[in-house]
Amino acid sequence: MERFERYAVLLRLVRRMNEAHSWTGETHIQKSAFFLQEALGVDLGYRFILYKHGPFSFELRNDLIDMRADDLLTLQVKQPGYGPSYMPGERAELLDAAVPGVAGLDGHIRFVAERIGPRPVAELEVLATALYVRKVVPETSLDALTERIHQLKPHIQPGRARAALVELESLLRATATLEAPAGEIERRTHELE
Amino acid sequence: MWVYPGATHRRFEHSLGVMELAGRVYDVITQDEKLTDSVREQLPEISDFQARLYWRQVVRLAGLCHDVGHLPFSHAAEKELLSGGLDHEGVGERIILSMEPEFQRLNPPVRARDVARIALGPGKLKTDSGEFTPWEMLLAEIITSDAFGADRMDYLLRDSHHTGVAYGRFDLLRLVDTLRILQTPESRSGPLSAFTLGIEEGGLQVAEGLALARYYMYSQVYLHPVRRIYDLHLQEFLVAWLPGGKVPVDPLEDYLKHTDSGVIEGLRDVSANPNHPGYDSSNRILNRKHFRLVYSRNPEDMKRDLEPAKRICSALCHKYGAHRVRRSRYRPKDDPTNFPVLLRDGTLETAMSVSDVFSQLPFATVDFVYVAREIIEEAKNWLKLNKKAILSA
Repeated sequence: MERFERYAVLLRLVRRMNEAHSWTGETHIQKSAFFLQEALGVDLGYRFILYKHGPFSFELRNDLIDMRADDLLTLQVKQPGYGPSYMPGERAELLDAAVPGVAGLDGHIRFVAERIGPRPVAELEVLATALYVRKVVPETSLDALTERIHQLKPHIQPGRARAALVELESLLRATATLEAPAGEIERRTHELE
Repeated sequence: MWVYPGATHRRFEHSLGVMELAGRVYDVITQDEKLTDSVREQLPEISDFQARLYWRQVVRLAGLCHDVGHLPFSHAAEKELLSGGLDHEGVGERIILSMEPEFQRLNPPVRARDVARIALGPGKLKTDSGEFTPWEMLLAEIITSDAFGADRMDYLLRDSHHTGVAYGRFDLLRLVDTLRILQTPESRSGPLSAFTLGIEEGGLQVAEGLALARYYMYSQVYLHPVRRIYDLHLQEFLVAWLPGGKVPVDPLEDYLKHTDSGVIEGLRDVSANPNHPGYDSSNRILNRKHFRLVYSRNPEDMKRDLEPAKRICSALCHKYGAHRVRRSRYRPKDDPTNFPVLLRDGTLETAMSVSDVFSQLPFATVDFVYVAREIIEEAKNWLKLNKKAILSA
């Protein structure tokens, strides 16, 4: 996916997460983008590793910073003591106009924004780690996956890990009702990178 | 050095500085009186005397070696010039791992893998896919943190001194004294804390000073338009001068033979050889015939267009030929505003919520378009007449 197409997806994700009353902090966006890419097949091209709160992409982090520098996104402190929240920036409408085709992914983006976005960080960490482990070792039993999650994140007790895996299966079944993402996102101008 | 003649300092002394500074930061943040029970419990290495000594050695070596993979003239050269799909961090990892025998002779002996992991941080390693422990993530931040990394603190002060630019100064000793291992803001909703480098409230103003120093050094020195075009000309020269246009990364001994002095000598040799494909770019560098700035991204144009510099560049290429036009865009990759602050009453806040400086700190970002000096006046006039039409097309 080209840079501005990715940015258009991220912008729409932020909007839908705001609408779904997500905190829309960076951690929320990271996990939501992880699900969008790894569970729903929207190829954002990010490489995720396990970091402080579960799957994390430094490339995604760089994109969010770049979007802030370009006023496509902005950060706002909603409540002292907690991390700031992402909002559309002053130039967001320019991006909307340049990449209208991202509307074709709205169903996928809404799914993630509504089902993943509003959760607290602790829950996101467990669920996203469950998906990460499941992707890395896809042919393994529930017991083995539970144990692997606990090994990687010792503070996640096996009971919680198992519950997350079960919930993950339910979420993945629900994604089957979504239409496959469109092949290419329509761009207003061919000059965009 | 072609823009700031006093900037003849090398990566070696910077690496020595990072080593020293990283050791000092480690000593401060692991002081007993600065540790909470939660930190001691969840980072057990910190309470083990031998482990603390070992990791102090690792952190210092990581500081010393963090830039060992850079090419001559570093950032000017890397993206197009490294073979094998590697970047300087990937090469750095290889070099550090090759030094295992040397590290084993130290007291205490150190594993090269640990040095590489702390020097480069998670996400940058190419051959080591092992997950980072919370302790390793924290130690890597001592070197690489956007807000308080020893790398950044050293180069800002060092570059400020050597370029003679006063903006880059801040009270380093005071800042280091106020660093702490603190809980990340996101941890507050969960059973387990994740940790990061933060500061005590008493260090907030000096942290603001660091952030502003960084902003001014980027906007005035690192992103200076003449410096940026010299980066491009140097890159063009290197592609023309190096066999195959690339620096080989195997064997490592061949990679390590490339030095700043070798490149300067190459520039001089090629500038006297009109038949060499690098002749033009070498002369532009040595004789200050660099391309001139004709357009710079600005708030007015940015209100109306997503990427005005790109449109301008395309239009100029169409008018004058791509060989006479260059574009240089900088995308910021770090955020120095995202860290926790321990207030005097014991509560934790984010920097953005307690500091107007951090909540409003701008990003230093540029998007420059240049043309060959021979056509600069004509291009300026042409752009003046046509810019509105170009941007509304």
